[in-house]
Amino acid sequence: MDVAGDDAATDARTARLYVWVIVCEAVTVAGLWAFGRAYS
Amino acid sequence: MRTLDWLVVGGYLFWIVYDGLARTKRADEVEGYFLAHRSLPWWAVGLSVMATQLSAITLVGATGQGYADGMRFVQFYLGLPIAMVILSLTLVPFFYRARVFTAYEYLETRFDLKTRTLASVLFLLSRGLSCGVIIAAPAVILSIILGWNLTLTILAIGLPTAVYTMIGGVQAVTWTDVKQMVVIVGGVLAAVAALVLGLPDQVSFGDALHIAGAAGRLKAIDFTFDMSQTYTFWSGLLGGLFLMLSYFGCDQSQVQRYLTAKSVNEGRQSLLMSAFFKIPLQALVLLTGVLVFVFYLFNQPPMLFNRVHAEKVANSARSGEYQVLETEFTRAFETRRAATEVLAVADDEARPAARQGFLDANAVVKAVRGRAAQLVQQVAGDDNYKGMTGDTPVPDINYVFPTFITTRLPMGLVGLMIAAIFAAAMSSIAAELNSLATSTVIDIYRRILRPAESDAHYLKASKLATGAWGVFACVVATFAAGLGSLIEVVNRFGSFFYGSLLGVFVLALAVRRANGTGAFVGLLTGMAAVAVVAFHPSTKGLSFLWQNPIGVIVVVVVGTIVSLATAGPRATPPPSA
Repeated sequence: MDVAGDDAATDARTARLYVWVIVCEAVTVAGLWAFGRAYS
Repeated sequence: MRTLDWLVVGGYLFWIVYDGLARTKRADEVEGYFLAHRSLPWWAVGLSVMATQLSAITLVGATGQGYADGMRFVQFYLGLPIAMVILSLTLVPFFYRARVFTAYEYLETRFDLKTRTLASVLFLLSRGLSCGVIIAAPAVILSIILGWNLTLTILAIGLPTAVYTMIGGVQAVTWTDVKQMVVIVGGVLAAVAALVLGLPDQVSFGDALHIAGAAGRLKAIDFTFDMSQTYTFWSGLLGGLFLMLSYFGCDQSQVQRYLTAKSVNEGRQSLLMSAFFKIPLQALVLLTGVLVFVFYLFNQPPMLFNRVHAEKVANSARSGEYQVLETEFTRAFETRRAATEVLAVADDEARPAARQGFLDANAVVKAVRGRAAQLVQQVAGDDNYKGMTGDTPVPDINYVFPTFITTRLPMGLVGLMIAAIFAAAMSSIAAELNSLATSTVIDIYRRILRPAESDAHYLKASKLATGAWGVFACVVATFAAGLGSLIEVVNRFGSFFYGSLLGVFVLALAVRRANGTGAFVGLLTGMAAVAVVAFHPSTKGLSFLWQNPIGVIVVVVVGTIVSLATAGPRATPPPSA
């Protein structure tokens, strides 16, 4: 079943968002770890 | 609270209720009332998802956690972004395309009515009680800190929320959530600004961070693998992943948020908003608590933040002991302040010695607080005072931030912060009431009790159900406020339920031959298994985050075995995504 707004372009944009979520989480964890180290 | 603060809080309440009623469109049909005709933009739904998750006790408790224990708590949320990606790929399109009102409706399509009804009843029991706790927890704190009447505080939080949720339905909930998130984030940023500006002249923001770091408050990530610890990288990433999958994928209060989105992709994007912003927001809230800790290194804090217990001990036969402790605490604080000032201005060469001096002085403060907590435990009989988080008795943690707000912030800002606590509570309660009413009407009333009524009839029933749940939540809140153990029981019940419910959905999507009997028996066995793990002497030390994967595994294994053993008719395969 197709739903309004679910075209290939939006699917591709959402797929890119998944990658960015994982990248951002990795960067955030690394940043928090480094922050803790810098001020320990 | 002064006049300006009252005006800010009163203005906030009026604005939220007025806006909740004014922004409601086409809520005269059940689909409009519960799902906004699937018309809301992703950013509004995304903010609503975040506001629903951020309850008052999360805001107040997390700042207290930052004060007492530092940034470690942020690891609790490490599984959230991955959970959001998994849900966006799996359950979100299933729910959206199945055109369901509730997550449990899907279980009937896939399994049978009894599995749907069991899941729905468990949700109603768990969330109905926890809604009362969500109101009670901030009401108790605010009534103690501000000297307000407890019942009136419960009504001030619960009633306006019930009114706009009952009349406006999900649209009122979503659009007020958007404003409430703005109030919450604005309040937290204002508190951070006040804390930074309130540092002594000779102490910069960087110095404050070095002092907090010396006290171990900035160690956010801990890679130790210890299953008895809740706040480690692995507990948060793996245990937290299952908890977040359950909460956002199987709890109607969250599922209903993204079912209101305009399209399946907008539903996905609303969840991904949390994936991007939840951890930074939580880090900001914790950092606020850390800055409160630094603030109280230069300004004397109360020995005990819960002043009811402090007064009880001060007025008991052991008041002499308490006064001696108060004197010792003041002396220990002065010594620590002097050590903190030395550490703040120390250069690289002098820093190790200054740091050791500060840690020694901090240990003395902690020891005096520990003795005060022991006295409270003996006089007031509150066994929760046995435990300490950092240098603070566990039950005092929730009183740290409200004490700071009401005694140290300037006029106007106090009102804004109280409004932010109200906003955090109301946004969660509204979503709970809305989802409780949805499940009551759609899963029970319309499906089982009165299946052939008109849409207008169900709409009326929905509004009545919302109002009834609002009243129920306020009544539970009144009782829960006086029974600390009840709060724990409610939270425990929720944790038994979450992993097992996720297990049923995993069974539905991943095990093609699973049937209704397997799912039903699996769900009950999963909950029983989690209860055994939680209470058995050999496993009860396990952090509660690990209960969720255990629940999932037991349900899937037992559900599969029972399905194969009962060998009923082949189940309908799940619809394709």
